Amino acid sequence: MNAVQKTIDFIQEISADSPIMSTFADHRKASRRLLIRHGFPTHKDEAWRFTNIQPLINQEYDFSFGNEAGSEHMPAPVVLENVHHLSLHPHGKIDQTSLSEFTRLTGCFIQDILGAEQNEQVKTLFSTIIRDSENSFTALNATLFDRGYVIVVPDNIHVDKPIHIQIDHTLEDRTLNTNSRLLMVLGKNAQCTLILSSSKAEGSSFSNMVTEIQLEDNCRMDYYLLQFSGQHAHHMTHTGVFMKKNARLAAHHFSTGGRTIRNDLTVNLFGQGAGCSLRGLILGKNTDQIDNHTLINHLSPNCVSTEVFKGILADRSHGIFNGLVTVFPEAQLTSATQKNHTLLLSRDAMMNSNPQLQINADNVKCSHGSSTGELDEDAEFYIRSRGINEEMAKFMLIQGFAREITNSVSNSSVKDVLQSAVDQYLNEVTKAKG
Amino acid sequence: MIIITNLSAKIEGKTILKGINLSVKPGELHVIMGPNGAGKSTLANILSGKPGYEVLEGSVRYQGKNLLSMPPEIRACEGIFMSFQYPIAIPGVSNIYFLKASVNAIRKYRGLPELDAIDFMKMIREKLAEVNLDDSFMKRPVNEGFSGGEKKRNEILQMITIQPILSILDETDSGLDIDALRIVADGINNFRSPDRAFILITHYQRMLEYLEPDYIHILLDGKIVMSGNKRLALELEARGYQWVKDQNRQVAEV
Repeated sequence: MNAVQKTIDFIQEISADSPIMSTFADHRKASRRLLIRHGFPTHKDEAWRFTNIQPLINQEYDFSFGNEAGSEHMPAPVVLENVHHLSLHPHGKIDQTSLSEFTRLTGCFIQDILGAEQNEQVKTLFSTIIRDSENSFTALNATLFDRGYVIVVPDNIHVDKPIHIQIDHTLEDRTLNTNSRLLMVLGKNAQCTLILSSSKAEGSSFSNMVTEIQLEDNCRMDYYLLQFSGQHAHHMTHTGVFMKKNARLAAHHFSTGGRTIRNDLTVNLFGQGAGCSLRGLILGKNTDQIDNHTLINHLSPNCVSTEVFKGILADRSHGIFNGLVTVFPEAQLTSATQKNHTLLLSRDAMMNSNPQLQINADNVKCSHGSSTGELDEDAEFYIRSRGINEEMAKFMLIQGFAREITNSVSNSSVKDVLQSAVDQYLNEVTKAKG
Repeated sequence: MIIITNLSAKIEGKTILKGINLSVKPGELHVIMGPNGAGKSTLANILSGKPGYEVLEGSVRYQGKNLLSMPPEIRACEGIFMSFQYPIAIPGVSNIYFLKASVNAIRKYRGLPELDAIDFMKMIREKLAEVNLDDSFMKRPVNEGFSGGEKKRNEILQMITIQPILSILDETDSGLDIDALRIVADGINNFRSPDRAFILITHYQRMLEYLEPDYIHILLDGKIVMSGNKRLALELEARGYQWVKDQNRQVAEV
């Protein structure tokens, strides 16, 4: 039995009166119907044309949903200094005292999402930024999500340290599907950094996360998604950001490793003068498949978006970048740039890059570009002509290529983690070749 | 120091060098002039070890060793430096990181202790002043967004920092305004010493107003067809390469 059939059987069998199913019941019911009807996407669906989800489908999963097992033997979390730490892990119960402590330290409202259905923000926003019906996986999430937070940063609050949420997907000896969910709101003039991280684990897993972020007028958010994944990990994230007047977003997606990594990021520049910067770096080796799908909607005048995604692919790894910037007719004086650059370190590595602009306004400045290629031989010779050996010259060039992204990270602790991840990756892939 | 004997070479099926003979002794400054396509840059590239060239004939002995069998980084460690006609940008790699890696790779090869960041910075400050650049220059990515003059001054900065024995300067004067030209020429002059040698490749004699070359060689169609002292450059400037070609034809006919 494959994962699609097993998932459908599972959701058909869940009793409607299970405690979790009774939360967000309407969302769950509707999504369940949708999922049963459509199953998982295939490569015939445009949005999944290059993403091979067969390895994910060929696995069998247990479902973390409603499971009471303990949570031992987690992979070591991504270590970040000077942060407010939270975690989300399979079957881990959210501890009420730690949430009160979090509120005391940060000044933010926080709640276990399963108990937050009556929260006003949740009522208004849940499933509006990322719709349950967006695709099969968001529907799967809406049906089965069993853990997550609602975090609200009140107006004018600048959270002193980043909020770091470590997300674990695996349990020893178990191949799990986990569905987690975040809803975050930044009030007017608020400032906050949110870091989501997942650590590398050896076993197979299938995580499926939905994050909705609402940014009110003049607020500023730095958002990081840091994925360290093992060879058998399947991770999907769907992140939606809705931005009001003059709101600012700096988003970073970093992924290294993973059998099927798929990150969908949608940013809606809804209020005048809003601006977003999206940066991404993927490091692939072995049979990793790492896919970033981004959509930036310019809905209002005077908004700015800049996007740079880079990839380094070794062995037989496969990268995908699908970026769409849409400028709506009202969005005059839009400025949008989009770039995707990939270095192939092996002849068997592959990149599908698809940057797209759809412009429906006349007074705009938009550009995009994409390149995929091997290391620059002239640059390599230049470095070697200064006494530096071939291996080191290659290392420097690739490291420099990645630095354009890692240097744009303003948080120094995240920057350190990323730079050492790049160095470690380079040590692995350049030695293997030499 | 370096003896080039009957060197012939081709790239992409095309023979560019057709029997070069040149001998450079310590302390000397040799200038190689010639029109576009004569093989000047090919000669510089082959001496510094750029991949892609095929040596057909001849030899290059450098300090008694077979230069052509050494990979480019070993040539650099042995004391050869090429100032690039078109210095390459290396995005994401800072100038200081690059130059420190270079200095330490060469020091390591020579059995010297590597310099730490503080010692390196102390050393580099003096060198920066010589080419009229400030500290902030070192933080920028190598050659990225540099002006033509900055690129060439950076090459000279690398030269006086790395302290090579034989410097090959490929069109170091091109793309420079008068002020930058003077800075670059001063950099070379201050760096001259009885145990160092230079091969300067140039189109024009304007750089020679600031330098004291020992020999001028004219390269035409892959061969050195004429050699002389500084006066040859002036004569060439006045009469053009056609004059050399005519002279050469007469010699051939005789």
